[in-house]
Amino acid sequence: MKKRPSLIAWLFIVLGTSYFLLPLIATFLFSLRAKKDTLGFTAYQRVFEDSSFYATFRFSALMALLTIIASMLLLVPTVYWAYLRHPRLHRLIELVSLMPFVIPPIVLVFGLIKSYSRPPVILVQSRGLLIAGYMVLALPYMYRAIDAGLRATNVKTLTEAAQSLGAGWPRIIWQVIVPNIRGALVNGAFLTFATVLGELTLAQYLAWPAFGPYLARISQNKAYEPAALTIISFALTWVIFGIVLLFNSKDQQQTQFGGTH
Amino acid sequence: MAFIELHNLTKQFGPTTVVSPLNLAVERGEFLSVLGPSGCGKTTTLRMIAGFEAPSGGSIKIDGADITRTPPSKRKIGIVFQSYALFPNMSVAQNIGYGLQIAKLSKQAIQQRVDEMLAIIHMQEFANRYPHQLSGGQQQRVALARALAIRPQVLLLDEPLSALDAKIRVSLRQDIRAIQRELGITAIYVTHDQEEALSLSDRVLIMQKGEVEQLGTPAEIYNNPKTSFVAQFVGTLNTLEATLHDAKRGILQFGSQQFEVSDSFDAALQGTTVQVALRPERLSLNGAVSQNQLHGVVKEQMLLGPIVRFHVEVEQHLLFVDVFNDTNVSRLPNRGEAVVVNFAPHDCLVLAR
Repeated sequence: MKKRPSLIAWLFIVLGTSYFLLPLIATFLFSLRAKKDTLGFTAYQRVFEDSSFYATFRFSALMALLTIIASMLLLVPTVYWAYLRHPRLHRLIELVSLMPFVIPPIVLVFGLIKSYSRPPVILVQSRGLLIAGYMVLALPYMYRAIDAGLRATNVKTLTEAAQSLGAGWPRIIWQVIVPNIRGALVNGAFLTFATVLGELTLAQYLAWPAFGPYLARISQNKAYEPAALTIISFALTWVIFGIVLLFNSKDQQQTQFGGTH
Repeated sequence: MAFIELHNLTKQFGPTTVVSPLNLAVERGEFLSVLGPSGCGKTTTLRMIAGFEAPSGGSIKIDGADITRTPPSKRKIGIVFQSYALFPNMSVAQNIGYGLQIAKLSKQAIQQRVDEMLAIIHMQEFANRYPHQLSGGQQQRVALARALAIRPQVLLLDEPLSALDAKIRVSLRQDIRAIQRELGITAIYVTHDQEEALSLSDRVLIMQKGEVEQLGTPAEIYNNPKTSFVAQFVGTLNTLEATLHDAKRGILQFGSQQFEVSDSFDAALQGTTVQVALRPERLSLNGAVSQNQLHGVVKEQMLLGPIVRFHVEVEQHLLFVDVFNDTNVSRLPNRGEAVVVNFAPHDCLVLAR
């Protein structure tokens, strides 16, 4: 017998959906009114004609990619090692990973500028510093994703099985651990991408031509373009999200047809 | 010289001693089971041999070579885990071939060995399946093939059947033993299941609280348990306390009745209490008259398939008596019926304190 959702359940679904969708629809409709008295994609056209839209987007996307790679290179072995050898360290790493939620980016960026703008280490003009800052901001997402991935995998026994077959550490991480937390890594990458793409403070104060500052500048100077940009970035986010879902469903295509025997 | 030699092997976790100095020699091609309750140190011992735990003291030698400090990846030891531990991202064939790929065998050689292993475990048609498409028993067979594919010096099995259901457990344990014999590989099998240990092994090592209780063939362990722990742990056992009535001739007083054991005791022990163990299958009801007879009343009877287990109350003490479930041979007594429990003096095991 199918259980029908009650009226109250429906009410809350409708309420929740409209809370989310109404502003989006309003923004969309607003973005279509760039020309007086007609609905059209003029605002979108202007955005796409703006070369700094592409330049900043490309820059931020590249930074996001580098952040993802660097974060994974740092975090996968670290969290894996903690899982395997120092389960108690786990708590500490988790706590550290939450710091970006507590410390506002503005504090982070001034800390970075103060520390790295004078000898012995001058890094303020390096992209490395921006990426390092992004890594900190993305830490909670990346850490949590990797943690969840490892938690769902029998890390210790798989490692021991691989060891007994003669595998060394790099091989175990690359051939046994990473493939089994691939879904989690994709999720972490997606969240990191979204975070870096919309990030304003770090890029602004370290003076990089990133997508975040570009968005901010446009919204200060224009009326309709920011609305169009919002819809565009929303669409882009969903395209990426769709790719993630595709990845995950590919994982699930190898479903069980053996059954229990 | 034995193939595997453990010399004074110990393990401490902080202040707790998990394995007390352990000396063990396993011959080439032998199947040795390590049996004990959980927390007895059997798995830790296995993990030290595999290299996953560093011993606190002592040494491990395989084929004369000291491997105490060798990393696990260099030991050439195959291991099968309770949780199968197949690589979920690899197919059956890739799992089996993984160790060979690491050893840099040619593609052709790997393919050949994988086919060979698949044939041994009778799973040729599953080569391209993934672990999650297999049942537990199938996964464990693949795990066994994976461990054996690298032609290890030693095969270690850590409670490999504990996660499987009863039917598969029995058939797979026969397979494991047959494959081990066929390949002539030295195997150490850790289990808490005495039936597995007794039915599979050339020898059984019984551990408790990090100490060796007894090492011997299954028959020795079952028929001549050296300690009361072994006697209690392996098989079902009746234990009763009786007073020495005649120490020299081994006559014991049990309540108002007497029986005889084949041991004789020091006269000084006269009047003291000793613990006697009796296997239920060594006792019989009514029928044949033995040297020892105890009178009692049937309190309960339980059908265990081929045998019927009677609970007979003798002197306010319950004795288990196993009788073949064959009504052609003798009539089985009913509940409440008075019976005579017969047994021979040499069936009594006087347990060490």
